[in-house]
Formats: sequence, C-alpha cells, structure tokens
Amino acid sequence: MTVSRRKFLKGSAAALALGMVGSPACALAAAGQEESVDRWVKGVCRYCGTGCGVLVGVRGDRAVAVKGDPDNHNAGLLCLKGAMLIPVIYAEDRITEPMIRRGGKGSPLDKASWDEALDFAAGAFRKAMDAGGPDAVAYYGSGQALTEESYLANKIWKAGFRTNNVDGNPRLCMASAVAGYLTTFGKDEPMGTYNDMDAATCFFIIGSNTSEAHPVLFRRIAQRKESSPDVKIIVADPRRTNTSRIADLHLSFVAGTDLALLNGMAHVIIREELDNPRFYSRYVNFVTNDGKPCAFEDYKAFLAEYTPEKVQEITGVPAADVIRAAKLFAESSSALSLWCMGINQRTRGVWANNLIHNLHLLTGQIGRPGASPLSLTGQPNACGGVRDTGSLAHLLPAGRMVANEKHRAEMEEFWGVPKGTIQPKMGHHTVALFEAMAKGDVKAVFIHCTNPAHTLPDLNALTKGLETAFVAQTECFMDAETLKYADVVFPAAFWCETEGVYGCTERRYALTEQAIKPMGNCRPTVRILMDFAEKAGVDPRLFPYKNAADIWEEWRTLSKGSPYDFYGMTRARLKKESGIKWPCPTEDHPGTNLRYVRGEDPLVPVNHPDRLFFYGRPDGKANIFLRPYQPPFEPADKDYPFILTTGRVIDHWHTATMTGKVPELQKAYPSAFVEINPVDAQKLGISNGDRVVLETRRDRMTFPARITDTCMPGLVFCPFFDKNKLVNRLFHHAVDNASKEPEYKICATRVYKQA
Amino acid sequence: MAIAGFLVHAEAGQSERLEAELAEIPGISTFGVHRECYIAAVAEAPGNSMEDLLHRVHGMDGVLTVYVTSMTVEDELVV
Ligand code: SF4
Repeated sequence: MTVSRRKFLKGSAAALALGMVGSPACALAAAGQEESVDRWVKGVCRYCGTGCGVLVGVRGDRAVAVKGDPDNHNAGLLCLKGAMLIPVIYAEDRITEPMIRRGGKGSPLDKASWDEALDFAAGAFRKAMDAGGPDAVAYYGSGQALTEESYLANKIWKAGFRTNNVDGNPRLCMASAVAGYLTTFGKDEPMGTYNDMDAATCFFIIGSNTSEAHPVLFRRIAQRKESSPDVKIIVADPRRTNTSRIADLHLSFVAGTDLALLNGMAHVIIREELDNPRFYSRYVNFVTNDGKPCAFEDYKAFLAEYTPEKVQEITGVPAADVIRAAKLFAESSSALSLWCMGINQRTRGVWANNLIHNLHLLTGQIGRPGASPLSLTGQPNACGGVRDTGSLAHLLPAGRMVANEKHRAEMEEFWGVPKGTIQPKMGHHTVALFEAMAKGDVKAVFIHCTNPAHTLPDLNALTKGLETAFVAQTECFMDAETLKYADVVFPAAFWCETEGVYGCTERRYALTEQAIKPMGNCRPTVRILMDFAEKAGVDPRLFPYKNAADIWEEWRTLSKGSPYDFYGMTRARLKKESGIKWPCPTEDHPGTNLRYVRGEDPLVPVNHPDRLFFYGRPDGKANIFLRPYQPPFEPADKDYPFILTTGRVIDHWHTATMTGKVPELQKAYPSAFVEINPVDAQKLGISNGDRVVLETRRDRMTFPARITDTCMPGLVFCPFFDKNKLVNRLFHHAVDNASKEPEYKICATRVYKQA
Repeated sequence: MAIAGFLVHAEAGQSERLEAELAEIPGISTFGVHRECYIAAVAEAPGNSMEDLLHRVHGMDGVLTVYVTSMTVEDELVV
C-alpha cells in the first residue's frame, strides 16, 4: 500500500469515527470512504442478537472493509467482532466443496460432487423413513440461519416429510423468554425496543453481561446514564462483570436464587405502596402457579414470606439492597428490564421471565417510552428466523401451534397440502431429539448453521446420538466440532455471499444483501434445502421458489393479518431501509415501537377503549403469576460445594468457529480458563495460572486459573467458546418444564488444584 | 496493514488524560475529545496485532469501552 493511500484510508477512518459523535469533521467521511471501495452493500452483523447494521465494502470481487451502518439502530458503531468480519469470509479453512464419509462413521470426509452428496443424504433420509416413518427424520436449525432458510426448512419437514421434528439452538437460548411472553402476554416477542434505552430512567439488568455479550447496546445504556445523573442502573448478577461497572447498585446473589430476589422486590413494592392499583386493576389478571384465577389479595399473601430479610437469607443480597432496588425500580419515571441467558437457561427460566414481567405489571412500568420488559437475544436471528416462523417442534408460523387443529388447518390451506398433512403431535424438543437419536428412534438429522457437538449440555450423554444417526450438515468452517459426526457436509454460502433477512431482539427485520459471490463451490442454503428435499422425495410443488426473495414474499403474505403482521416489509423496502420493526401491516407504515399501545401498535384498534390492549390474551389483560422460589436443579452441596456457570467473553462468539478465525480475536482469548474468587483460591491454595480441576457428576476437566473477584466466593465461571475444552461436558441436561430449555447456568462442582 | 477507526468511551473526568496517553501509543492517532466522553482515534497495525492494540486501549484505566466504526484490511486481501 502506498503511503498516500494509507494516509487516505486513515483519514477516512478518522472521519467515520468523528462522524459517530457528530463532529463536523465527518464531512470527510463520505468522500473518503466512498472512494476506497467500489461499492458499499448493506447488511446485518453475523454475530449477536443486537443486530447491528453494517456496510460491507467491496472492491472488485472481494469484500475488503466493514463499517457500521449509520442509519441502523447502532448508529454506525460496531464491536470488535463485527468490525473484524472480513477475515472470517476468507478464512483458510472455509469449506468450499461438498464432502461425504464414504466409509461410514469414523472414516475420513472425502470431497464429492453436489449430486453425489445430495443423493447420499437423500438416500439416507428415505431409508430412515422407510424404516421408522416420518418421525425417524429431523431438522436441527439455528438462530443464525436466515429467515428464508428457517421458514423453508420448517415447511419442508412439517408439510413435506410430515414430521414435527423441527427444532434448533434457539431452544437452548430463548425458549424460556418465548414461554414467558406467551404465558404473561399471550404472544411472543417483546413490546419494547432499543429506543426505550434512550428514555428509561431506571435500568434493571438481570442475568445479562451486556458489556461483553451485547457491547453496542451497552454503549447506549452507558450513554443514557451519562446523559443524566438521575438515571439509575441496577445490575443483578452473581458475577461482578464489566456491566456492573456502570451500576448504581450491584445485587450479587447466589446463583439460582433470583426467583426469591424478584418476589422480594415485588413484596417491597406492595409493602411500600409503590404498586399501581389503577394500572393492574384495569390491565392485569392474577393467576396461581397452577393457572387458576385469583385476586390481588392472594398475590399479596403469597408474597408475604418474601421479606427482604428472608430474601437476604436465600440470596445473600443485603435486605437494604433488596429494598433499594425495589424502590429505584418502582419510583422511577420509566423502568426498563433487560435480561438474557442468566434468566433463560434455567430449569425455572419461564417462571423467572414471568417474575420480571410481574414487576412491570405491578407498577405500571410498561407501554410507555422507557418502561418495558425487553429480553435480549443471543443470536442474530433467533427472533425473526426461528420464533416468528414457528421453526420449533411445537410451533407453526406466525404464533400458531402444532397442537391447535385450527392452526394446522390454516397452514395446510396456505401451503396447499391436503388436510391432515401436518401431524398433531409435537416433535422432539432439542434435548429429547438428541436422546431419540441415541435410542435409534430418530435415524437421520439435517443440521443447519449450528454446532451442537459443542453447544449441547451434558455433551458426553447427548452426542451419543450423533455417533449412530445419519448426520447431514451445512457448515462453512472445517473446525466445527459437529463435523466429526457428519456423514455428509454441504458447503453453504457464508453471510454476505448470499442474501436474506435477520430479525433481532427488538422486532427489527433487516436484509443482508449479497455483496460477493459464494466462495468455491458453495451454494445458498435455500438452494441446498430444496435440492435435497426433492431428491428425498418431497413434492417440489411445495417449494416453487427461484430464490430467497420468493420465499420472503410467501412468508410476508402469510404474516398478513396475523399478530406478527409485517406485510408492509417488501423486499424493495428492506433494500432501501436499515431495518423495520413489526407490526408493519402496510407499505407506508413506519414500523412499531410500542407494541400493545393504542395509537402506536397498528393491531390495536384506534378506537379501543383502553390505552393498552394485550390482544394475545382472550380478555386483553396480561397475567401476574404467583411463582414461588425454587432452587436450581443441582445446587452446590457438601460433595460438590461450588457452583459452576458458563457464558461468553467479549471477543468470541459462540463456538468460535468464526471469531477463532481472526488471529487478533483468537489471540485475545486463546483458550478457556476458570475464574475463581481470591478468597476461594486462597483456601484451595490456587494461584493465577495453576491447573485447576473442575469435577462434576458428569465429567472432570482441567483449566488454568484466573483469580479475580468477578465471581463471588463459591462460584466459578468458564467460558464455552473453546473447542479444545468443551466445558458443556460438565453440565447436566435438566430442562425447564415448560420451555424445555436446559439449565446451562448452574451445576454443582468440585474445584481443586491439579496434583 | 489494517486500519481501524474507533471511539474510546471514557469514564467521567478521564477523557483529557486518556487522549494524551493514547496519543503516545505507537500506531494510534487521536482526533480530539467529543461530547466530553468520546475520544476519536485511528489505529494502524498489522492485521494480526490490531486486536492487541485495541485490547491494550480497552484495558487502560478510565476506559469504559471501545467502539469500532470501521475496519479496512484491503491491502492484506487484495495483492
Ligand atoms: S454488538 Fe453484536 S451485532 Fe453489534 S457488532 Fe458486536 S457482535 Fe455484531
């Protein structure tokens, strides 16, 4: 690169940075950056559920730069992961040819032609169905798949193969949030948006390390805090993460006791008369834990035992802090709750979600700018791609349920298949699916865009099925752990090599346009799915699409008139705009910020007598549930005296098959470690860097120690990104009764220095 | 050589000091403090050490976090 060109690029980079803070010097930006590439192509970051808008700079036939999209919600900012996406496209171990295991499991993966690979997979699926019927096959999808891919796979499996064995990794991250919204409000997906972060005066962040898992949202929260000294932030997390650095109050509770904390806050709110009877008498039903209607007085009596002192006993949070948190929340002019996997990945994850909603409904902190419960998603398209299209074992598109006869009939009519095509029985949820594979009930699975051999809990038990079932897999990178089990591998076009829609946390759908050609012999996944299905015997009239845009057109039409109405989001409009938030029923509708609110949500009649209308519930009222505290499935005990938890680090995303390709990101976190509190370390004679054994009832593993007060005494943390240290081997696979989401966040462990 | 534009989000009252410290780091140029808490900067480094550089910034006292606004790697990809 010549010096002048480097200077030029540096000038452009500076101008863009300045542009983000509104400096006049940003005038340079447009001219500078526009000239450094041939064209900029709009898209969405490939990584987390924040869903930042990006612009991909293309020069010739290569992507060479990424910048934040100033017109999307992230206002042009990205975290390091998003900014470093280009090297991932050109990673040396991209899979660019189909591969099959000609000699069966354990033999090497050999290159194959597309026809050979598709025939191989289709033959195995036909054989599986001949032996075990439709339920002998399954699809295991992803919150990273494009919406068009998930919609198509759901249709092929449920209406083509006639099995509801369609599930995916959102079961492992968002299922409890879905069930929480459904039980409280009657419909999935949040009512608020990121805009609420600019209006909230109290943030209640629980079970979320926003600063590392959703860095760009953290900026918005921190900026709000700086804008006014009156803005208060409560962070409830057993770990003292970077997120708690901006908190006014950090509630460090014993992992797994947060249900008591949430009920304790409700107790204080009522005791201090900070509740809002005018609100809940109009908009809320009270419901017992077993689903029976009850009265406010019953709720009050139920909460009586959750005194701050009792909550202190259970959670370890000082009673005064429980009171302070409740007051900050209820007395603020607008309280916004944010939560993520700490709440969802739990055997009582749905209850925990309900209890957060309770706080909002009890105080009326809902349906106003800045006042809302807003669950954060982990993946870029768990919401739009999987939840909304109904690509889970119990769902059908747009909020319909497999178990509901009317819903099945509606889908059969829309999809043009005979009545009775869709089976009434729910398919296997994720844990059950992998168990069914181990038993031989499910004999062939198509895995798309996810890496279950790394991410499932209790890996030793749940990967058994992958050793015996036929595994067809779409994958981009050679180091994905699941490839070890794959019988056939389809090389999928990666990210901006194809086009499709992502829907992030805030009901925002945004299009990633194709910027460059797929590498090597890669193909778009929608093409792979259609070719495979046809060879496997599915009537091709079920998928008469030329491309992803045709699939979007069908899905958009299906949403019309539903509670998920986004009919107004034409492909042309998505190309022009940087994301639109549904409901958006018409092409001239700007999208919706405040769902369920008259005058804001187009699905609430303009002449509705009430300002709020929870139209997912038969009587338009939301539910406050009387959910008691229950301990986690496997609390610490005398034999296994520590609690082990897991999560992300800022520079890696999920299983690091992408971030691990960027030497810079990999170098920052080359391998997993265990965080131990200094008090525990001293007792156990452990120093920084020592080899430490974690031994649970499932397995035993060794990690280097990091002594830090991030973890409270009694708690240890291991990140899960490292394929050489699959920490999920240590966790059990107990699931939430309702959502079937596993409890990754808590298991009992022994901790000792390696001899 | 990779080039990144970024903003450093500084804790209250720390931005002037941080800007001076950043300007001392080889490979980093700063472009002023904005809205009291944001320092605009550009980092220039070989692709495989860019992360180190940005991490070093991230770990400095008084830095709340770092937001990247652009990353160009064109000369490492296009010969
Ligand atoms: S915050 Fe998430 S979506 Fe935004 S750039 Fe970072 S990884 Fe991508």
